[in-house]
Amino acid sequence: MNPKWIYALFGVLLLGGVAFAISGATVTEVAERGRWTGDAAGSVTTEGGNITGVNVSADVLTDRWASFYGNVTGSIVLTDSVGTNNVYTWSWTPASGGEVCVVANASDFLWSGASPAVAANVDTVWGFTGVADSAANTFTTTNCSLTFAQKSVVNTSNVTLAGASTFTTCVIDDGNTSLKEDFAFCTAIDNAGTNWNGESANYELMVPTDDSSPTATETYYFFAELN
Amino acid sequence: MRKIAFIVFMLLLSTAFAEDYVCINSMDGRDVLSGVFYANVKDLPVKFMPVPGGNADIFAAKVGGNHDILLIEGTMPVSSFVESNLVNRNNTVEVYTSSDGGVANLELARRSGADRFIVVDSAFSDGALSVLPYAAMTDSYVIMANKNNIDEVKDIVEDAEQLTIYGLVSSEVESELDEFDPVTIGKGEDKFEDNVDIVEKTMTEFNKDNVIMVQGTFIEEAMANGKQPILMSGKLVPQATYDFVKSKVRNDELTQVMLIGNELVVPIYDMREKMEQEFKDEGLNKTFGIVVKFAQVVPSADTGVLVLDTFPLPAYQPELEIKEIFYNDQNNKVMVSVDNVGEGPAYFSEEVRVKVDGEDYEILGTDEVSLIERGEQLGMEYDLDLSGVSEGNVTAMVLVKYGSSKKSLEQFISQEGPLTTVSYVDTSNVSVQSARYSSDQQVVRVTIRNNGDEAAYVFSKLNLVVGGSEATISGADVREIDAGSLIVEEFPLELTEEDVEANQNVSVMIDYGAREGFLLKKAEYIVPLEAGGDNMLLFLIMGAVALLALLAVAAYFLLGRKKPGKKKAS
Repeated sequence: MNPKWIYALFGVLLLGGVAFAISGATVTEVAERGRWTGDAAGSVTTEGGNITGVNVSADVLTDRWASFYGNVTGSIVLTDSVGTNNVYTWSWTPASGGEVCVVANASDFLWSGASPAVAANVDTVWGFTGVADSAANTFTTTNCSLTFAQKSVVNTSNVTLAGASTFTTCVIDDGNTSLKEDFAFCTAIDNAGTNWNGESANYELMVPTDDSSPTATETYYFFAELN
Repeated sequence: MRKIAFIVFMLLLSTAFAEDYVCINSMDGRDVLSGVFYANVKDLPVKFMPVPGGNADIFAAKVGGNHDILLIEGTMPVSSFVESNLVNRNNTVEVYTSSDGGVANLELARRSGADRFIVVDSAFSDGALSVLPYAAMTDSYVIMANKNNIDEVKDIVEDAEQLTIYGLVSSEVESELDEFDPVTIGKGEDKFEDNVDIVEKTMTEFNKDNVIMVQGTFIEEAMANGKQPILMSGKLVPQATYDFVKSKVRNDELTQVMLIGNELVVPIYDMREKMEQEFKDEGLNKTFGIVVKFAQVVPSADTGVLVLDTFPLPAYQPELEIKEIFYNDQNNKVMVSVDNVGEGPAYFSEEVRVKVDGEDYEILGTDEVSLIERGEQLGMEYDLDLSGVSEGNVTAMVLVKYGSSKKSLEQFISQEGPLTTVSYVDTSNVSVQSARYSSDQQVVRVTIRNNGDEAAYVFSKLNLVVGGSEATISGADVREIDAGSLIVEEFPLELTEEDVEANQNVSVMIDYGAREGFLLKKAEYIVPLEAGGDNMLLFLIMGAVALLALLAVAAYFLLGRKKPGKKKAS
């Protein structure tokens, strides 16, 4: 592993309020212009819960691969807008299971069409064919199975991560294989897992990055399915 | 002629610069939506600067290079560096400056070259978000219409191949577009029912088995590309939405729900659990997947992991507050006061759990749904006998469910604490004295008197005929009247001569009481509507002053003649 950058540790609350402050745009001004102005959206956020949730850390493995790891913890409660009274309580812990997945560039991965993916198809789309750290040379086994709520994916390409990591990254597609957004890189949430560095982690996975040119751009989106 | 010239101009413009990417840098949500609608009609990728947290460097990194970009920039951009950052990435940029979000919505409608349109109301974003996916899939442009821009809207849609009206629009918009024989989706009575209608249509026509569920208070990239139907919910899942999801899951027509961020995680997971159990009770093994999109990272921009790019939108969301909870030992009632602090009316129901030492002693409340107008405080009271409680800590927990329509109480608020005891007898006495319309100032003034010995509070509503139909106008707020005093409540209103003629008498309804928030006394007064311009009053005053002046002059001369003069010395 030859990290190029070190991402700052960044705690992202998956299902919590602090870092994800989406505010409704309810304003008190009658005028339409004021109502539609983004910075006038000062109403109380209508978040669903106060969770100590997921954090995500990242590291670069090679020029073509990056990894993400973190934890998913805590129970989830639904409080009222004042934030003091709990109306619903839904306890979820990593022991309940689930998956964390990363998709490149777009967020319309068709989860309902999740299917086993072939590593060579990843190489084709990302342009890694023939290189030493291609997907085919990285995802060398096909014994990964993931269970989503609506369907299971069995025997898809996977790689067991190096170092002290206890995680396996599995690649799936959504029934199409022509674009980057047709592939998702997933791992099962593990209550007692460790990352490459031997630290406690609930998930760790690796994803391909675009090294085709200096102006190449890729945005990765994180998804979670909690059982 | 002007229209032809504009079309020729746009054709020339479009051939000179054929964009392959749309970017939006504006603090006006209408610019964001219009840019998205435009891009979807043209089948172009689109990105908007998020609020809060928009960063021009990250934005440009996400867009990438070697594009011909149409940059829609508002007079209040999110960042001043967007254009330069895009240019620095080897992009060609044409800037369209939006002077006004409403104007931009229409100008981009023309520029898009669309011949299919969906019209929604311009006041709130619910409609626009609901139709966004269907519009994208049918290459339709979404127009945000109101009575002020309807003439230009008609001009745009007059040759449309397809015109659709969605949800609740103003009566002027509806009547003006009637000549084009539009398709109507949604009855305009309940936003969730209308939303279910458009989602059902989208899923059926385009064979979609997955949806995005949101409250409608923001737009995110996944919603902007219009590839998945957008199903609305509140923190409490409305019945219409629940029934729709269950029906779709039962028929294997819905396999996946995507959530964006945390706002609906608990209610949707809770809904799924409940549904699974209900199916199980029927002997069925049915469920649906829930995926939560929660973060992003842009490696080429050297970022850490980021929150998603969102822009807040003004979805109509009612807002209530619980003002008071106490026990009145004079009438053995628990009294709860609720305040509507939102932008419009709301419907609500409430439940009160009285506890002794933490255990439920009595559960009070009503399933009946009540209406509370904007600015109104409404008090409810429930019989409670605490005579059997000789000791113990008495507390109360109040849960108020509320929403924008009677059928959809999708929000809630609760409060818990010690149940305070008061001794309160309401002896207030308030009455309506008169009503007068001023044609000059276009206002109806209602005079209300407090006949009692203590201050009182009143909320008033005026019933009268406007434009041939009965209308009820509520006062702006609860008013306090000192003992023995008068107040004048103003209702801004423009009445025609016919309206004045039709309102010889008007009805004024008052809710009043000695405690603000407990306006439990109600009365209705039928009073004559006095009408006239304020100029008449002025003339009367001037006339009175002139008369007084004349009398004063006359008195001066009369008194002056009778005054004895000095004798001349002989």
